Amino acid sequence: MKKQRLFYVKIQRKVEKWCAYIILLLCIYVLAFQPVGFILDTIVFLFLEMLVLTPKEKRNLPLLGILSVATPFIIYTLFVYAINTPLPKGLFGF
Amino acid sequence: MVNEAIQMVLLNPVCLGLILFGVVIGIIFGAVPGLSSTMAMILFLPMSFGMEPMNGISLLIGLYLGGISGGLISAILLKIPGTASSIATVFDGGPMADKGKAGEALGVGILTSFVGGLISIFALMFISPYLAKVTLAFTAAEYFSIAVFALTIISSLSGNSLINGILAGLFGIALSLVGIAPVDGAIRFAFGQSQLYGGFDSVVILIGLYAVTDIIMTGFGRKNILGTGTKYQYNLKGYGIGVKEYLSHWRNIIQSALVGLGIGILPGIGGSTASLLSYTTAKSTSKYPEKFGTGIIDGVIASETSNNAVIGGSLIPLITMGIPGNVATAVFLGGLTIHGISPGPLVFQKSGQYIYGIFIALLVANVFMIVCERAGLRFFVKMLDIPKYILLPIVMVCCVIGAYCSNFSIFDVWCVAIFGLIGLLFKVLKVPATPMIIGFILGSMTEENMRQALMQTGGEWSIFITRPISLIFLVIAVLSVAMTIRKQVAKRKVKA
Repeated sequence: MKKQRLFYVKIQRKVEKWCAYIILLLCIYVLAFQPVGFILDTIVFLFLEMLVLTPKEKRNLPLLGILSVATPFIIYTLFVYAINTPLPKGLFGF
Repeated sequence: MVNEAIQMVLLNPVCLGLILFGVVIGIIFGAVPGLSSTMAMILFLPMSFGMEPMNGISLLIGLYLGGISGGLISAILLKIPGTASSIATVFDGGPMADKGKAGEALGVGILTSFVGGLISIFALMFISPYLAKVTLAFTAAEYFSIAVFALTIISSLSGNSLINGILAGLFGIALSLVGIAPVDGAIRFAFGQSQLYGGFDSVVILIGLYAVTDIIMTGFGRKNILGTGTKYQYNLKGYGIGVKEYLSHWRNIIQSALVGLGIGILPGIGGSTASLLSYTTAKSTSKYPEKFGTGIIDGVIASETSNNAVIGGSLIPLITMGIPGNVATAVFLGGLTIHGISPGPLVFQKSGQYIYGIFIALLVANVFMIVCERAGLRFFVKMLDIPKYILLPIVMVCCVIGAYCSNFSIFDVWCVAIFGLIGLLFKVLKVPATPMIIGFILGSMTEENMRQALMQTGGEWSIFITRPISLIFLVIAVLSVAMTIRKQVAKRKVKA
């Protein structure tokens, strides 16, 4: 009886929409990292990801927008100028 | 010589300033998942060349110490180990944070990191020549047996399903086989992809399995994302634990420090193994092993004491024999060599003042570490108040950067996503992910040393049981597995 239980792995069928979004966003972010470049890719990813994760009541678009633009720039400055580690430059040269 | 050392370090504001700088930067690197103390040391190594010898070396020491210790911050607050050496801190530190005891977990973690570091620094200062001789007794056979013993942790970390845990562990070992084989250099499981020749990076797997899976799971619980609204008031006095209570864990502290010291002394084994091994040891020698993993302070103490003890331990073979025990000490060796200090048996005659300077710098860095982390504690805990839906995407970005920066390879970034999905699959299938990482980290150590040992004996397997130290570890491993099986069988009988 126990052996039968082991073979019966039921994967939960409840795949909710936004989980697919999260996974999809992540895959796009990762694949576009090199070609599009760090800054652009991160801005888009952060904005969309925060949008998807934030419950509707708390959605504060301007705040998310500022965060998603400021963060990559801050990180980029820190990494590239302060500690000299290159991050992928994309189509637009930054 | 000691006086000169004191002058160069303690009475030199530039040097003290550099140590402080190193410790702070180190803590930041340690706390961000994906960045590590090794990376910090490598980045600042060129800068240290141009400085006065003692200043440059002190900077590296600060980075090393801060980096190893900083991992506990994200391990407890985010349940993502900031550095591989803090992996076992997640097991109990995470649940403690869930219960609202994050401040205590952090406080104790910081305190015990200090103590562990102190113990190993004293060992380095006073008994390093004797300890160095111990290294000579450990050959490939002993390393193999230690790895096997460490693998038995899987059985106790598998949660409810031993089978699933072993499956995950075996999968991890299988993953460690990808790439160029040790000893004979055959290329395995690369499927023609040149990027796989080097195998997978453990940091990348850690990030994928912990951070990415976490973020995706947060999405699953989207409706609950506002849930943990109770803001815990952190009026943390001292370190969240009384002196008497901390000292009551003395057995745990001492044995974890010894484990860390030992692992540090043995070249080729790093902080992650120390963390896991001391966690297992603490669990098996505890009076309440079933509480481990639910959020008890013992787990945090075990992990954090040992990973800081690795620091002093790893410097012992470096200074006494010039053998770097891990990548961090290899970088450190570079820093020493460029200033004309060649570690080895004669180092005390030739450059004694620098070695004493290193000891003093280590003590100073340790003190700075505990002061800085304690001062920053309230700030760290405030980070938990940042809503998850903002924090996690940013953490994700930092993780991806960390993965990219370890080898500047875009393939590593893809791996993060892939392992994140694998982690998700594991969660859905109720397979624990931790055994997989343990299997991966220890798999290469096991295989490489097994093959080297067999090479030495010409294929004679008895070496693993004829050598006494090796035999001891194997016996402990077998006993540990036997006890776990017995417990599981007993549990099942009670259920039925």
